[in-house]
Amino acid sequence: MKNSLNCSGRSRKKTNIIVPALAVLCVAAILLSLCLGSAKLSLTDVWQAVTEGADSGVAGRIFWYSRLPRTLACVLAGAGLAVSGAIIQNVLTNHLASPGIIGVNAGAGLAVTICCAFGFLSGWAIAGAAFAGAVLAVMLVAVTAQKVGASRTTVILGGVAVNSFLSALTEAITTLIPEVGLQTADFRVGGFSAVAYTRLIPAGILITAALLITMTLCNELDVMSLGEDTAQGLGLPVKKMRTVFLALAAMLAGASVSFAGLLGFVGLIVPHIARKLIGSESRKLIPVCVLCGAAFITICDLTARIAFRPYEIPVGILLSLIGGPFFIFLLLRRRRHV
Amino acid sequence: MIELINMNAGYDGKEILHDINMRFEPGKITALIGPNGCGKSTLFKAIVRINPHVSGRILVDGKEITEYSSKELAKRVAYLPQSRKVPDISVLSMVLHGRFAYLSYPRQYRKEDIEIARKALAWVGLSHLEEENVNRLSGGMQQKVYLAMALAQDAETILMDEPTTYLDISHQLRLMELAKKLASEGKAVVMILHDLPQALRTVDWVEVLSEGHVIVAGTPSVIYESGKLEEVFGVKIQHMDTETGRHYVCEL
Repeated sequence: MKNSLNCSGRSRKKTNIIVPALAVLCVAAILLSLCLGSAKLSLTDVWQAVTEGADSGVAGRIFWYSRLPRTLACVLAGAGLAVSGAIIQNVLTNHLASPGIIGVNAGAGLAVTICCAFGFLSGWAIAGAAFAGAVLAVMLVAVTAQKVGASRTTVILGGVAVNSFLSALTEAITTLIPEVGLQTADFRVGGFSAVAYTRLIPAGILITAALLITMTLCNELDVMSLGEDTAQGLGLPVKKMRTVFLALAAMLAGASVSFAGLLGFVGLIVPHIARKLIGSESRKLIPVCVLCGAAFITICDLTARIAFRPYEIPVGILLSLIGGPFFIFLLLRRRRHV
Repeated sequence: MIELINMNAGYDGKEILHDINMRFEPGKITALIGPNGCGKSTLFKAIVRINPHVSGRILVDGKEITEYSSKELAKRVAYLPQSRKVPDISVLSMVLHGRFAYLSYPRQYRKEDIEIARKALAWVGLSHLEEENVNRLSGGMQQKVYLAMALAQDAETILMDEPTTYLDISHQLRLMELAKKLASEGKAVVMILHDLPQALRTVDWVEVLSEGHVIVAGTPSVIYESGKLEEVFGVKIQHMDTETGRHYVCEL
């Protein structure tokens, strides 16, 4: 008997509709992202570029050096940030938490800025530094919350303080070293216009590895979401697993930030949408977060790219325009429930 | 069976419980009673290693708890904490979490686990709600789901921290009946209770705690006769013998 028996027949039917529908949406978004932009490519152009390589003419070069890395970046960052948010929300048992809000992205951003200041610009150096910065930030929030026995709201406030402190350090570095400021200007807003394979490949390996590990730990994640006391009573070594999950969340967010910059709110919005669609069971929630996150960022990037043609606004700005009101909506809904 | 021998425990470097000696035996219901802050929940948390004990011994089936892995301990001791999160999942999925300690590769619950979870649900009378979302149930029903999850652990000892809180009188009485049924099936049931008359009427053994010490322990009638409850709680307790047994009443 499969684990899917855990859920009801009604829920299974829902899964069987939602997952393929999201997969179709994701594929459609990817195809549109590959075809649309300042220069339009037809599906035939894309196919020709795939089969003949970058030497197949202008369309081939646009596809291989611009559209494909950009689309892959959207998919990876969307999946990474969304799953990172879902993990953080489960582990801190707070649905208002996300890597952007509690300072994980800011930690990764600071580390990348320091890397640039010291001239370490290789893909692995940037990805590794972003991971280290994200781990540092998430551990700082989690340990503080645990030490002071912080309430769920205090955890968020503590995270906001960490976020603000780390962002201020980043700003200080970019002000004091103007070259770093120029190098990281796009990065601080968040976007995919200058993404390159050299940064994408190391980060992509880290994100894929972290997603696979997370999928094998879905039961642990579900038990963790019942709260520390219940989880320990059920046989979960809570302290050890909390560290593992926060490290995974940091790896996903840090690797995403290393090439996409400081994209806010993805880790907040997508897990909420995914939970609404499929419920809270991690075995279903994580894959749905991957699909939703990938589709969401790809569509947002596509919008940012073509809505104001010939200009392009960084996707980070668009996400903040959507994410800010969404966060307020969540706060209001929470208040109504209280 | 759980034995606490000269155990001292607390949290954040603060010792709350001093020199505790207790034994929770199969087939018996034990109540821990005492004023707020006397260390009852700390005692449970020491047993399930949420706040490890400072000194003394905690033996589960004759072995130190530190010798068990988290999963092995969960197979022997189930714990219902005081504060509980209500997840947005189905009742059956929730109860299946009780089988977490038995989960092995390929990391999916087996047919046997699902059957045990269904039996646990039937045991608390919620079979008909297995597809329902836990979020949509009443407080009493959610309490029963948590109890079913603990039962699915198939542990010999069940620790329940204030299981009757927030329950209406009907659900409180039903829960106490379930506790009796569990004990009759050979489980050691240990409950933290605030309702003194209910505790004295239902359980087999009472441990009265105050300021981190055990003040008195014994059967309900011994505890009643000792007069220690009046001393600890500052209330008068009287009893009435009726056809249905001995009943207790508290008053100021």
